[in-house]
Amino acid sequence: MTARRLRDFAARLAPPLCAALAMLAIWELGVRWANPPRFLFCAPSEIWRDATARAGELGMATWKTTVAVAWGFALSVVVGVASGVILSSNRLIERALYPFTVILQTVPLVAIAPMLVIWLHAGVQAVSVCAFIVSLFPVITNTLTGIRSIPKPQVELFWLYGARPWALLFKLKLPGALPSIMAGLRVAAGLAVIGAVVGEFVAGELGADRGLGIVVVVAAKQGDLPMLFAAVALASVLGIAMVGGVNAAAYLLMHKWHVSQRPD
Amino acid sequence: MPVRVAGLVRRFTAQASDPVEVLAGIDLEIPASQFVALLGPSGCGKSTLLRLVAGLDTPDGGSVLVGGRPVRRREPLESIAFVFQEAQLLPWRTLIKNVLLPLELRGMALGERRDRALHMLDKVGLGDARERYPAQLSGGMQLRGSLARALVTEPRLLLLDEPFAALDEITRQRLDGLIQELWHERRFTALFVTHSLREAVFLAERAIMFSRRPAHVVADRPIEFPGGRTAELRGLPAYNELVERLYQDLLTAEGGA
Repeated sequence: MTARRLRDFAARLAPPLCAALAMLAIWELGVRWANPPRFLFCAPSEIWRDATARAGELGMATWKTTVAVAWGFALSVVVGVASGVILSSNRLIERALYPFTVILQTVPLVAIAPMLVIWLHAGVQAVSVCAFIVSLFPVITNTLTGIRSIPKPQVELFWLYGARPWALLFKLKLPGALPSIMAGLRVAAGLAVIGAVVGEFVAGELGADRGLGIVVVVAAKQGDLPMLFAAVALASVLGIAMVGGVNAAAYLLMHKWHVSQRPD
Repeated sequence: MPVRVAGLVRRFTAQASDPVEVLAGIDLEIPASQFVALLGPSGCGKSTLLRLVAGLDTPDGGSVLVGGRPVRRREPLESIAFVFQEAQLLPWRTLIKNVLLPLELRGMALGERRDRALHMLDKVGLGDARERYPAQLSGGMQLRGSLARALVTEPRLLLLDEPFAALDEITRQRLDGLIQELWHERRFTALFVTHSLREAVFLAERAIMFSRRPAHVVADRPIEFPGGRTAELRGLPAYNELVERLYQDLLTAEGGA
């Protein structure tokens, strides 16, 4: 069983890995052949060389950003699911408050970040809040949609047996909305990384405690392309890891019963 | 448990200016332990009536008494169980956990509710499938599961809203046989909404035919077979005669509103 799973895993990992290697190879060869000025473009080998030379600094920056992403995302899960539950509990509440949640999605983060700096000072707190604000909306809407989509007879079944409100919530609404909530978290996980990196542009701490966003800003100002690429690549890896984490959680919670988790 | 419906009125307002009257003063007297089939044209209000009896909806007039007690919306009586059109098992719960759900919601101890759910699953022939999830069960098995869930509380009134409409004929006849068996054993009162006249005649002791909207009773016939209800019943002339008579009633119901 485990050997088979390992084989399945390898079979799934191989195609994207080969595609990545092929693209890197084309990139490398292209740069060596065309030899553009280094402030315009650089080769993967140069990015690798610079990144390994400054591995400690990049590792620390990745860690700082990861912490902010984790806080922001965790906050988003808790606040988003709770808000979705509250909005779904009453049509009037939904009508009164839902329009305001749309603001979360439309107000540009770079415009809010300076306020966060005023209130929270630059640093991990302000950056976490940026990640939180950007990733909150999909969690709220998907929780709301998930709860609203529970078949009415199932709700009526709970009424018929005199279910208490908490039983209705924990035994019907949340598990029933779970597939939809997980879809929202998958979107939110990626957004949290974007929110943290962009948040750092404005609200990030400078100096030794800087995150990937500041690495990006500094490298861009210095025209340090390899460092810029390295920081972007690490942010992508962080995003992939976040989404992978959500997928793993979805698998653990739903593989026994939900179609989305069934093997092809 | 006897059911008494008096002057029951229900209107739906799709547009505020134009309310549709679905039930226009229904009166019914159903003695305890009777098996009643509710028949009538599509959309005539049979399901609405059933929902009002269950306390899932509020009437615009009239009253429902179950066992002498008035039924109100969201104040369900413990003695009532409802079987929906589709099985409506919760997909994240195994079959046995679905069946014991009503007992769990009413706060019965874990060991006891498990025993009773297991017993009920054996009754409907699903003992071996108890640890499976609904997605791993056929449509017929899911409906047997929902029947087990309805009966696990030992209801005195069972309301069935076209539960087998989507099944193939053989599975449907098997499930009819199962309901018949369970009813003989437990003698709950049953209100069974169906479109199948044959199913109604096979199962029920009494058939009530409703007219098109706004629904009123156009026929109320006793169905008696001294020989009991076995599969052979479906071949008897008396059975087919009754089906034919109900068909005539249905034509009347379709024609005049």
